[in-house]
Amino acid sequence: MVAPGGEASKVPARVTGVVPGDVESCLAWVREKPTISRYLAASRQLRSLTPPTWPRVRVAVLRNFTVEPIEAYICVKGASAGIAVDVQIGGYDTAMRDSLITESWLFDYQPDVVIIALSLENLAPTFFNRYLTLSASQASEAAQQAASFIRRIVSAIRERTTATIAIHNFALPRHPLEGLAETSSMTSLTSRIRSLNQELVALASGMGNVFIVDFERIAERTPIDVRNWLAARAPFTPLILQELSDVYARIFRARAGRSRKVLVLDCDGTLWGGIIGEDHIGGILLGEAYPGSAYVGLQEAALNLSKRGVLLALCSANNEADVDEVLDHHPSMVLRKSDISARRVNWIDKATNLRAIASDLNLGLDSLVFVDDDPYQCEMVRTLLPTVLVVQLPPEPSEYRAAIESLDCFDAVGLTDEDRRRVELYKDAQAREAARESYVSLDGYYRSLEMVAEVGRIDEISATRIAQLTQKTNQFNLTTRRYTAEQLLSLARRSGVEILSIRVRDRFGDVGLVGVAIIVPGVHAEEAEIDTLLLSCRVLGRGLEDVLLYATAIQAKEMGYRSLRGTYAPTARNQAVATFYPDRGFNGQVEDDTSWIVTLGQVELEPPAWFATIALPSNMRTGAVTR
Amino acid sequence: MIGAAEELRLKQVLAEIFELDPSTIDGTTSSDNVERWDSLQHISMIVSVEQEFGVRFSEEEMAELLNYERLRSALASKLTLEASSPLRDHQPGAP
Repeated sequence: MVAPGGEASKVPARVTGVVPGDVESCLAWVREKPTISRYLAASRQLRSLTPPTWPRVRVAVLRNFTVEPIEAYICVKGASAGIAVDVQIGGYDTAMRDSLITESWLFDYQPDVVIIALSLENLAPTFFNRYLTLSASQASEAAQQAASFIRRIVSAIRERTTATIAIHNFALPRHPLEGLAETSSMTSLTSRIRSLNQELVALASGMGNVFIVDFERIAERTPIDVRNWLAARAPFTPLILQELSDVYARIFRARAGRSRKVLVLDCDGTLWGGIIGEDHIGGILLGEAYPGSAYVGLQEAALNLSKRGVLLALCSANNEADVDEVLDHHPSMVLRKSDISARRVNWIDKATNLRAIASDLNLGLDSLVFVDDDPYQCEMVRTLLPTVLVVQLPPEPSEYRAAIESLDCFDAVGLTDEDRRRVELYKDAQAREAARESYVSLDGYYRSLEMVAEVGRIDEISATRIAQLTQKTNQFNLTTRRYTAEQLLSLARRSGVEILSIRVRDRFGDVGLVGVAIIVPGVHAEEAEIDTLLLSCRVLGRGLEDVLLYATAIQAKEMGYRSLRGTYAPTARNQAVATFYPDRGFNGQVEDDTSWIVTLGQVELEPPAWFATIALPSNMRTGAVTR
Repeated sequence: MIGAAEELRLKQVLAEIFELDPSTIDGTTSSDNVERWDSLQHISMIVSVEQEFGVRFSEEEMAELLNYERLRSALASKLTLEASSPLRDHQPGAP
């Protein structure tokens, strides 16, 4: 194994007695005075404080300049997001070797995220520093070489790992080399670096799970430290370190399935100015004239988020009829009833209402972002529901739009069409909920839905969605193992492995691909292990889990297995499924108290009778069951 | 001039960077006898002191501040300069 640079002589940590001893106060201590020294001391302290229940993310950094202080920033920002991050920094300027040689530390390390931070000045010094001495063809060739250098590294990494890859793009020259021509000519250094950065975008968008870290923009906002660049090739200032690690933290959150999913908005003072109950529909501030325009801006920002797949909800203390009137009739409202997936407009406290909204949407409170202008409400929610992210609007209405647009907690790894459709899906769910109330028995209700469940095997197309479900599903998830699409596809090629997914549609619409079961060989001969069994929270309570288990058992039997083992790995979020296996006749807890086994054929694993159709993959022996 | 409070803050920064107990830092503390005081951590330390006190060391100074005593006196002269010219522009990097 080739060791990365600078890791040889680690001194055992000595107690400094200066850093607070628990995670929260440690993070607050850094926020209070964000110096490099505090980040460093806190990152060491956090290593021993990190709760074992936190998701872990392994990060490798490939670089050709001095990046070292970033390690501490990554650890601290990771901890702020509730993620334990391990960092390994590659040797100075060994990025190509690290990614190409067979016995590289990079692959032994099994990173979840690989950051590629290259300085163009170090990669192509003549191009960057003596640009005007080059002919047009030499300049173009140098740019091409830089692009292909990165392409080679990225494809080598992609071939051998399923890690998320984050590529720094390149900073532009601080000052124009050619005066006015710099921004007006296609062949200026600025133009060439811009098109090089554009090539990186093409590289990222043509490959799954590759992101660009916009270093061009960061360096433009806050210049590098030229003094330390010349002295030690160490360009990062404290500001740059903060901005970079904020971007990395977004990637870690997405990777660890910690992104938020719902934007909950207050009404009076947030969606519009004034109080609807007193000012009435004609008197509230909303429209073209300031400050009404600022509220329109906030609504537009929320609407854009909903088109990215973020659900919108209302939580306000009003008479419901007043709010309905604005939603239906105010000419300047941007958001309409159809944009809102859940709402609690009443006189009950907001903490209770937020809990109800979360349960309406079958999501955890840690999926919610709550926006309110009232400091009292914000404080109450912060205190009572600490896992809800609370956004208290800034004092000036003109800053409202930015307060929404600057939220960086909604990123998902690999945005799919399903994300874009999720908003539609929840609206269908509301229609279903309404239907549920008009039926006496639950069984009759389910039958009336005319549900069609369709079980399929993984393929290139479904892999992204399946991976996303493993990343995002927390509640109905027996083992909470996270996978990327690449990992799943390579797993599926192994013998004795099958990855099943389930889709469902009903008379209200197509719900999409909502469940996953992964069968792998168990530790004993002829025993299959259910590596993963999960169901999206938006289809809970319909018996779909029993269809999935039924299909899993048939598939396992068909593959020659005689028994099936199911495991429950407890997390903070999945207690609801703790007894899933024993409830279904799995018996004999084996080896530990969270594993159960069933002999195939001995226990009837029957799907619920209320499904109109259950379709299994064509070559499963039983074929389609139509009732 | 550098007061006892400033000196404590300076020791605190060094302690955070080099993993030391602040009470063990004195005039003899230098890059020769502190294991973690290498060229990389040196830069982080200098920038941290600049952040902490809102000062900026000259490029010439940077390479020379390889022990506590020099660091303390370089900082002292900057703080004195600041105090005697209150109309000076605010230093970049001030918190």
